[in-house]
Amino acid sequence: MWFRNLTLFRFSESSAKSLKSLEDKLAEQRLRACGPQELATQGFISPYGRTEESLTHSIANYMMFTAAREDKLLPGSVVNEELSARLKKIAEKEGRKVGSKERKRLKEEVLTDLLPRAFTRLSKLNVYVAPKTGWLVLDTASRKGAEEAVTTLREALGSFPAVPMAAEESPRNLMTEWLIHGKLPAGLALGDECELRDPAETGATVRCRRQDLETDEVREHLKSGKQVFQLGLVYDDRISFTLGEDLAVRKLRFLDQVQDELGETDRDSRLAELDAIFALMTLELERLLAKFEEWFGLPRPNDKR
Amino acid sequence: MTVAENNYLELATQDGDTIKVLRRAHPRARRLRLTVTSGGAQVSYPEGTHPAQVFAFLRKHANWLERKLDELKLDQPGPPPLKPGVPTLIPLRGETTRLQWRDGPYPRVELDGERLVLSLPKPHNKHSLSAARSLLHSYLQAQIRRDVSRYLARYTPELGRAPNGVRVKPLKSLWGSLDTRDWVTLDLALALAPLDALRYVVVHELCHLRIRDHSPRFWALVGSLCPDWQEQRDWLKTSGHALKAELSRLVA
Repeated sequence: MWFRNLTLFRFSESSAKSLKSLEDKLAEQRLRACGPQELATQGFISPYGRTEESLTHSIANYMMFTAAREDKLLPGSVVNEELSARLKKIAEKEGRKVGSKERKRLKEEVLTDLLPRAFTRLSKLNVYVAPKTGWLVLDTASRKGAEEAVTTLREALGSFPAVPMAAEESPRNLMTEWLIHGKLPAGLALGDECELRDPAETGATVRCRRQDLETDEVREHLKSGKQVFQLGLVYDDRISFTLGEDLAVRKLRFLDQVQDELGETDRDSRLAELDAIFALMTLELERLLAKFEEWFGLPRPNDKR
Repeated sequence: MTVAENNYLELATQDGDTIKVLRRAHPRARRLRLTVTSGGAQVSYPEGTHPAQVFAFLRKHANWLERKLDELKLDQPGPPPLKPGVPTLIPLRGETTRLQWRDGPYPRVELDGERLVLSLPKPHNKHSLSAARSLLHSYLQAQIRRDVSRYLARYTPELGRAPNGVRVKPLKSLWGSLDTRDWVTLDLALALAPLDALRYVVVHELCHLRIRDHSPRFWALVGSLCPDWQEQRDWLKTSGHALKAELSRLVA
């Protein structure tokens, strides 16, 4: 349940009001199982597990929910193989070539026959909202996955103008400065990985893992004009992560100091454990996101003109 | 009129100047077409058109071409190409700004008062120019992103809609667009234009989130958020092409 990645959106105070009836609104979009002829369904499930009732998990200022989708696994190659088998059969039996219109119809037929027999796959995405500070935090680094989840949320709420993170200070320039001079904001330290890229269209790329970043070999790349597109960072010795130039956080890990604070919760109860982790995680992330806001300039949408 | 450098036609004007027109046979073209963009004038024609027919077409529209180039301020010879170590003037946020060069351990760009200073490691080599262009590219992008981030924070609550993301890159003829996945794309050249022009383009694209056409209803919505839209639109139409040409000098 610890988030492993972060994609951030921000919303205004008036939008936060629409979150009051979140549980009811989500219930209208509860995930249905894929019908026999459906390719995919989207909706929400309980953060505690698919069979549970409650669709949100709330503590103090935070609400967590889980966006989910069910996809039919029907590879194109399987469909094509079945189709060519049928085409061959017609050719042998009737001795004629099949036109494009009939071919299309046959393909539809194959889909209708195969879809009910295809496997379904469930994918889940945990999301939490902080109405007070206006953050919408998704546990993914994939832009597409995040957009889909936010679109499902918008459909559930009617309208929810959450803005993707657009920083006032260019994260790329800022991170390049950090790496060049080794001077990072208080509390932040360099991790052991980075991705350097030439910003030109066909830019050369260098990726380092398990590498001391304050060495000449890294500096040499910066001298030739490469810029930092991803940087491993450690915040306060409590959280380590890789920050992308699009402000997507990857490889998020809560370090021993945080894990120790979790202590020995009642491991018997899944609910109690989830509650404890969520409380601790949101608290830690609230501090980190406040720092992001300070370093990169991430204004909250403002209702007043 | 003679054919020059294979692909260029030279058109003599009444006052003795010559205009270079790029010629292009286009497999899907139905008719002769003369266009003016930031790259200059271009004539496209169906494959197999007789050259004399193209010449005649150009001669017929020479006056129009001359007027258009004049309107878009593209008929003066542009400033020299970017060269490391040679100071030059560039438009930045609608102001003419001096671009200067300095030696430094790392490639770097910063605004020093009224001047934009590009630092490059010595000695300059074949990579210096591309490093400088890349730096300018990311500097201009950062400028646009800074303002767009503020505009998004201001206008999205009013509109009740938000885009899924913003991309900034050089565009050929558009200033901005909104795709079906609700991503806004903005032209990098807007970093050279006055702030008000950028604001108009952002508002225009955001309004498309509500109304996906250019109906009077759409323009009314734009007008409610950006009352001086007409003025900005006219400015982009007349002065914008010069900016696009300038951008390709700086970062292409």
